[in-house]
Amino acid sequence: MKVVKIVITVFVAMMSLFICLLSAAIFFSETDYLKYEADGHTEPIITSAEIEYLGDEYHGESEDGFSYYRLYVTIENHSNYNHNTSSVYLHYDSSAYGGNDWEYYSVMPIEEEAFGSDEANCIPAGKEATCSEVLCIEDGCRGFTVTYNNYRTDSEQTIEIDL
Amino acid sequence: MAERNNDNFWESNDDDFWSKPVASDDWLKSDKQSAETVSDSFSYQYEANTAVREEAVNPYLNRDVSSYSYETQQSQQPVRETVLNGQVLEKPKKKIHVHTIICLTFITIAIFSIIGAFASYSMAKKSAIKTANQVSYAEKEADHVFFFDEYNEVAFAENAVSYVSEENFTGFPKEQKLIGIYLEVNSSKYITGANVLHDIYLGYEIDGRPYYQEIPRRDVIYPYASSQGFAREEILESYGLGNGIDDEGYLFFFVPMQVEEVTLYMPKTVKENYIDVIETVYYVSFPVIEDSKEAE
Repeated sequence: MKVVKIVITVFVAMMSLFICLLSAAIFFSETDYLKYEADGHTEPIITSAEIEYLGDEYHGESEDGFSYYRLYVTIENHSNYNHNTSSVYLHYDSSAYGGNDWEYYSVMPIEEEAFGSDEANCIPAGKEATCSEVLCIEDGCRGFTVTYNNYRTDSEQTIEIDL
Repeated sequence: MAERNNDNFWESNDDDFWSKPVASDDWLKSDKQSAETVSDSFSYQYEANTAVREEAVNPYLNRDVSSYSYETQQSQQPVRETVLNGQVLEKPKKKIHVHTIICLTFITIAIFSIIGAFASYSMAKKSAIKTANQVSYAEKEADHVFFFDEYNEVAFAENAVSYVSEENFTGFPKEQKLIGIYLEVNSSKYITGANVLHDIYLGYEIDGRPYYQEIPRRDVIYPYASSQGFAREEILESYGLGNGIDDEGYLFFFVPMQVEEVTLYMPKTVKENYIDVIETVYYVSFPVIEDSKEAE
């Protein structure tokens, strides 16, 4: 009986120590992940968005029923991390061309990355940055929205642009 | 005699037999004590003995303790409880469950360590998020040759050079040009976890508006750079340079055609609250010139 008690005591002690070590290990492994957690809780703010009409032709290219615009979006970053514009989207209620790939969209409504992802504009820590993009928008499109999605905090900022 | 008959138990039919005092029985008279007296005597003796013993155990017991303090009165209670039926009861020996105590101690430690880990992580996360949302770095202009830190020396070329544009590469992004900045990093020591020349970005202005660019991925740059004779290894990426390894190559960026001056920003970070915090941002400015080979 005494042996059984000792065995149980030792087992409980070992398990307790194991749980202590496991807790410490989990804590320290999770602290490595804190950088991403903290990064996810920093959020650039779209301060303004403007649209400039460029005309029916841009660099010798034109298409019937479409016009060219340049979009300017100003974003502030009050955090300690650099961000980029890959999470800024445009939502059209009409068909439009977008970006440097000149891909034609015919389905309504349209969502596309505002500034592409390969050559993403940087919004440095503690700075305000401007991002611009030439857009080819179908005549008759009344406007669109510029949206910044933060998928980590599940928040969204939207600015409406009227044409 | 009649009285005696009346007292005869077996012959008596007296209805009030049970109501007569037993003390009148003769056999009891010899003892000069009635049944109640005996009973009282026992009771008296018992209480007397008990009192003596209780007094021995606790001198306060049979005294008027109402005048004593509450603590003193309370302190007498357990002792009184041990005295019963004239005997001082021995307290049962407490059995010390050593194994149970050890097990409970370890289980408590385990539970507290889990709670502690969760609480610590929660606090660390809170402070990390707070730190991440505070900007407190200084910008310092650096020379074209400077020490990024104690062990890493960085040397830039004097100019940023425009290598590719629509003019020399069909299908190149409109109104853009690819510029390259040559640099060498001489590193004397590797430090674990150190971020040297990490998250570099480029800045320029157009019509008074500030623009910033990250270093594009090597795969994006390579088709254009290779057309100008650059090897893949010469295209540097911003995942960290130096830190124990000497690096040499070009940082390429896409910039609008009208850009004539660019500034390269190099954040230097320190660990604070488990996260990397920007301490200093070094910057170097470069005029953008055309590629001399192209010009020729």
